[in-house]
Amino acid sequence: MVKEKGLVIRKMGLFRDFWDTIVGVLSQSGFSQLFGNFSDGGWKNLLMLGISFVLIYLAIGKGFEPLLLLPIAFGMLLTNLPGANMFHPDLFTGDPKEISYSAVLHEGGLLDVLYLGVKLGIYPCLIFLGIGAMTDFGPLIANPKSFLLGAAAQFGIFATVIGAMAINYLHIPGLSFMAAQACGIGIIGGADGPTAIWLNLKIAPEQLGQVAVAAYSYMALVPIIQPPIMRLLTTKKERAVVMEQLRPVSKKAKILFPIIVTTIVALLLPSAAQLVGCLMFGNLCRECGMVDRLAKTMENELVNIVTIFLGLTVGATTSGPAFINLRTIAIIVLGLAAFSCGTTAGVLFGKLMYLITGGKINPLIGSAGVSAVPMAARVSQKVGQEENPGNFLLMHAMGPNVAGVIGSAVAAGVLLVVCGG
Amino acid sequence: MLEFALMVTVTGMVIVFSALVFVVFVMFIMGKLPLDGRKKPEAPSKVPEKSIESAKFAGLPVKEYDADENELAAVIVAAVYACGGENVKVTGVKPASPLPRSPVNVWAAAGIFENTRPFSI
Repeated sequence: MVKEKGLVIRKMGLFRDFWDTIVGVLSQSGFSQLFGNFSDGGWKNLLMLGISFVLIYLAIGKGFEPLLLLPIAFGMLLTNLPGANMFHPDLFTGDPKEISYSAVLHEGGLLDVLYLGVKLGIYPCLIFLGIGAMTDFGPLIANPKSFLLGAAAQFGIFATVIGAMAINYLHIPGLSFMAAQACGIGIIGGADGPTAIWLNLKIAPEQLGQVAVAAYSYMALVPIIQPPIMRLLTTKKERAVVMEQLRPVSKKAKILFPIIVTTIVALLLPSAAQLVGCLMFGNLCRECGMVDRLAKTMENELVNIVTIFLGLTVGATTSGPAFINLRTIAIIVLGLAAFSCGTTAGVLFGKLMYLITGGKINPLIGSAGVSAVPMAARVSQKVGQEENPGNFLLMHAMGPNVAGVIGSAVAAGVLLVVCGG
Repeated sequence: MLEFALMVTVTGMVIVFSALVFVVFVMFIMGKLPLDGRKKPEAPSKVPEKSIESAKFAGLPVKEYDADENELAAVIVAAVYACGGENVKVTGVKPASPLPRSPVNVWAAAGIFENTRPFSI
């Protein structure tokens, strides 16, 4: 009897240990941290997890710029899993010069080490190498007037700086933007992710995650945002304009172009030399034909690798407590305004050129002046074909589209100089 | 603060336009230079006999075409045979007409496809 009682007591002790272990594991699980701190910030992580699922669906199910959106969305998912500690933002607060690299290497994980490429401004330049190697500037060289459309579309950047500064006059508690932050938000209007990241790193690193997510999201939503604006601002007659075939461009011209642009832009605005220089170097490697292996590496392996690292780490900066606040909502709204203003300015300048040239230029190509290559050009083609199925605007729109890449890099250089970065 | 924003806007647009207008000017000068190796038109070269034979072999009427068209026909026939094999019979080669109301011909359309290929997902 005593023996049986002892056995029962031992079994109950084992069961209690087992139960305590299970409870201990569950209490340290992500579920416990998520729902245990629900009202204390846990709901923010849950909301960001939901947003990440939506972005993953948009990337995979709808095909919205999956190369960019999927890494960002998955980085967002990883960083909002409580207890996973995939990313440690406290290692990167402040100036890049004050980062403790030994702390990053000892205490950080994979995403922390990869984030150094973002924090030091390396990834945007490497991506521009790849973009330059992918881009054919032939349509731009054949029709240099496209440069003006690319320049006009950058008005969205500066208009948003005004809008962000105007918000300060509303005196909303917790919502005010300093000059550098306003400029960092305005660059979203350039529709150029690497440029937006590069500029914010230098002048407003505290809002890098929000700006990057906004910029890349709007780049993915170009086919939704632009067409209504384009139809609103143009007439059927204007949309149906068929443009003359572009003149052929010689190989020599395509080789001289990147050298000339780099020299001119870097001499005029040295702060833009990093981005424009990388863009043009990639293009020179493509066009000279002597370094095909390098060009192929830039447009394939290099840009793919950097896109993975950049997307994951930028997404990892969007943890719920840091992301869900009034400033983020304001940045997202201002980003949409920037994008819309850029499209509007490009189309209106296109209408002006339509009038000046006597109807030879289709105003729709003005909307491609934002830097979302080649999606914005495809949108011009699509909207143009709605009026005239035989109208091929794609190559004409590629001119302003690639000019916009150069224009947004120049605009970023201007903002950097103005904000004293 | 708004004055600063307006100053940034005006300065920024002026500098962006100036930089790009300067590049446009340089491009315009480049467009005037004979960078495409334009030379005096040479006398049409003699058509290699092989290309005429190929065209005859394919059953194409070798009439009063100029040298370029004979060679082009021979190349097209060779390409069709390379792709389709012996099951394909070429009965004629003629220039494709441009799409209605569009000055762009099929070669330009192929160029469009080639230029956007890196971006296709």
